Amino acid sequence: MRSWDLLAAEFNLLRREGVVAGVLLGFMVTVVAAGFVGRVSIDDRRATADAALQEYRQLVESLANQAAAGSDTARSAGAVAFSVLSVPVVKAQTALEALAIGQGDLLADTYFVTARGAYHFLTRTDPDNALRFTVGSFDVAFLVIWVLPLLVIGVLFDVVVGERERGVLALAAVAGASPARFVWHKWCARVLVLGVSCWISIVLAAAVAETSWTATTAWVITGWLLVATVYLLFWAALALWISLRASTTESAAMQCAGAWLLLVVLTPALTNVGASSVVPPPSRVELTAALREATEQADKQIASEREQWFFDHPDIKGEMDRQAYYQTVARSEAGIEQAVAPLLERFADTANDQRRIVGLLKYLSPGTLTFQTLTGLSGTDGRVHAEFRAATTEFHGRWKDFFVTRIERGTALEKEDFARLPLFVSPRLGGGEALVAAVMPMVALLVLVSALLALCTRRLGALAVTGRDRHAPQER
Amino acid sequence: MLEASGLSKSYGEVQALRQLDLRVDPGEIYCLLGANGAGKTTTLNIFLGFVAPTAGTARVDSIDVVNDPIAARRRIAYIPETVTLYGALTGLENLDYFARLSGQRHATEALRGFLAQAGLAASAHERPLGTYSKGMRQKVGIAIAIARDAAALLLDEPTSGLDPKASNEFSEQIAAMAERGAAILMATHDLFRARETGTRIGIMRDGELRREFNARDIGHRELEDEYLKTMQEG
Repeated sequence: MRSWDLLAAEFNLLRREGVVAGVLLGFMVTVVAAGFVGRVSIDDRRATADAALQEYRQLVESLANQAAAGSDTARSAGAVAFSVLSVPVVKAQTALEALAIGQGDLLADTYFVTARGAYHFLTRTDPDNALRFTVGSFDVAFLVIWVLPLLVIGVLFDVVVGERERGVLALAAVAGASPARFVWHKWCARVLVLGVSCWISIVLAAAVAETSWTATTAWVITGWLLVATVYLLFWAALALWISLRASTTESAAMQCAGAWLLLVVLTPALTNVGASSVVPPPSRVELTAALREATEQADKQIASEREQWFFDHPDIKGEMDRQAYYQTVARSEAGIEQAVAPLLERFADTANDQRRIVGLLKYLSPGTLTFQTLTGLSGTDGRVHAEFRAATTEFHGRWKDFFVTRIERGTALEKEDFARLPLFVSPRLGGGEALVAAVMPMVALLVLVSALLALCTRRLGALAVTGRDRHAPQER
Repeated sequence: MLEASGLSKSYGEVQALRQLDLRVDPGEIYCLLGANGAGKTTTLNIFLGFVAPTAGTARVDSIDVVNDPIAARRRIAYIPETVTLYGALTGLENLDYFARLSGQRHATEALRGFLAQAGLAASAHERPLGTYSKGMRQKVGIAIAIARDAAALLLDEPTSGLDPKASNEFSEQIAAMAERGAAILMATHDLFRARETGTRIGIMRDGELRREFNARDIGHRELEDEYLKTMQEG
């Protein structure tokens, strides 16, 4: 029988097995739905950020007009900096981020920056969380990492042992077909069907999820398809290996389920526990206590000076006194920031260390490896968030300087000053760098796939086509 | 014709087959009886080329199965204990699939003819195999063998799990194949069926062929006594 005939026969068989066709269709619909959910989630976040930016622009315009009209509050750099204005800093949209929302719930993509210390906007997020693979959103990446292997296992776990039990391998061998060739063609046909289903699902999900298509989007989706294919090949090779070794379909199914549990659930969870144990994050309670203590200390130091404003009522006295009041606030903020800076640094270091550890341990699990690569491609991984946070910190410095310089000099804000407010420009995230970063993990996974397929080829060379001989060793 | 000479097979310390001499001529149905592990399946597996003998020779139509397994297999048809095949395909499609695996392409009418010869009612030809009884699936196995037009047919406990009627029908089909000139070697636990269907009967124990009879020379009761006697031997 020619190769094409063998493949065509297998395609026909899969088509006729309604369950397989139904499950593949179900997967495709679910992936597209996940793409839609991702888009809704991203749109929602984007709308919130846009609304905040719109509100900020209106506020700035209003303050500029009030400053021109001579309003004391609008002309006071201190009042504007510490009481009125906070600027939303929004992470730039990346190509296909809706396919891998990642940990947007933990890793913020919007900060509200003020002239107060960095702790003020950073503590609005959770810097103590490790890169938790197990805490995923319902997105396409989640389905690829968690559900795709189950699909591959379901279609391939019995590709050898099932055919042996059905008596097909023996009949094929007697019919003159090489059992190894027969199995390879079945495997290839099934992998092809799975691969095409996976590609169509991802492309459709991307079409639903992405609003602006650029050359970068095309590159990123190509990367997604390649990564998903390599991941699929890993599970397909593993399922074949297990099917070749197992003596019954039940045993093959149990072994495949065990492999899924180990590689997709347990190892990533243990990686997370390992990262958190090796580099435990500082306590949140410690941070809160340190902030309180630093605030109290700063307030104490400045208390005697503040008495003239009844501590926090600069409006009681005249404009000159208002400037003096905000100079004490700036000093107080500097004191608090200095006091909590080491602790915040520890949080940042912890996050970086944990990211490094996860970066090494990810090679223990193809699931983690693929998840990290997909979120990297979509620009939603920890590395991209760290870049965004660094850019935000740099912007915060400029923002603070703009106001503190004027507060210290006692310079009133003019209408033109509002047009000179520092602007945040998000760094270019993901894209080409992410593609380069994806190469190494995928090469590692491909090496693993090749090794598994080499083992399968060797075992197929001495394939037992029947399991009936009670004398033959049962351990295959 | 099938011929084994001094055929032995061992798996490490375990001697699965010892010095087996056997000959099945065209038109003959040789039934191998024996308990589990007696060496019946090992014998079939050697003829099928699934396992290599440790010593001795096995020939199909004078072709050594070790030296030229492909040519030997071309002359063999095989029906395993369980013919599950593909439940999603119809009987006709399953037959076509396995015929194509053998490099044969038959017209639909020819395929229907094979199924009819195997005793499968025409109304079942287009039904998915998943809806067949075991007896009906075995008939598809027979049809596959008929389509191959093989010189020898090997059967491994083909009637196990069949009800008496289906078992009887199966025997009739096997007898018909023998009449067409096939040499048939059947491993079975079914003493009654062996006596009814076989032309010769061999009883195996511990990898040895201990007793051999012409089916027409031995009654059911005697066969049972001989079988039990063999099982009680040391």
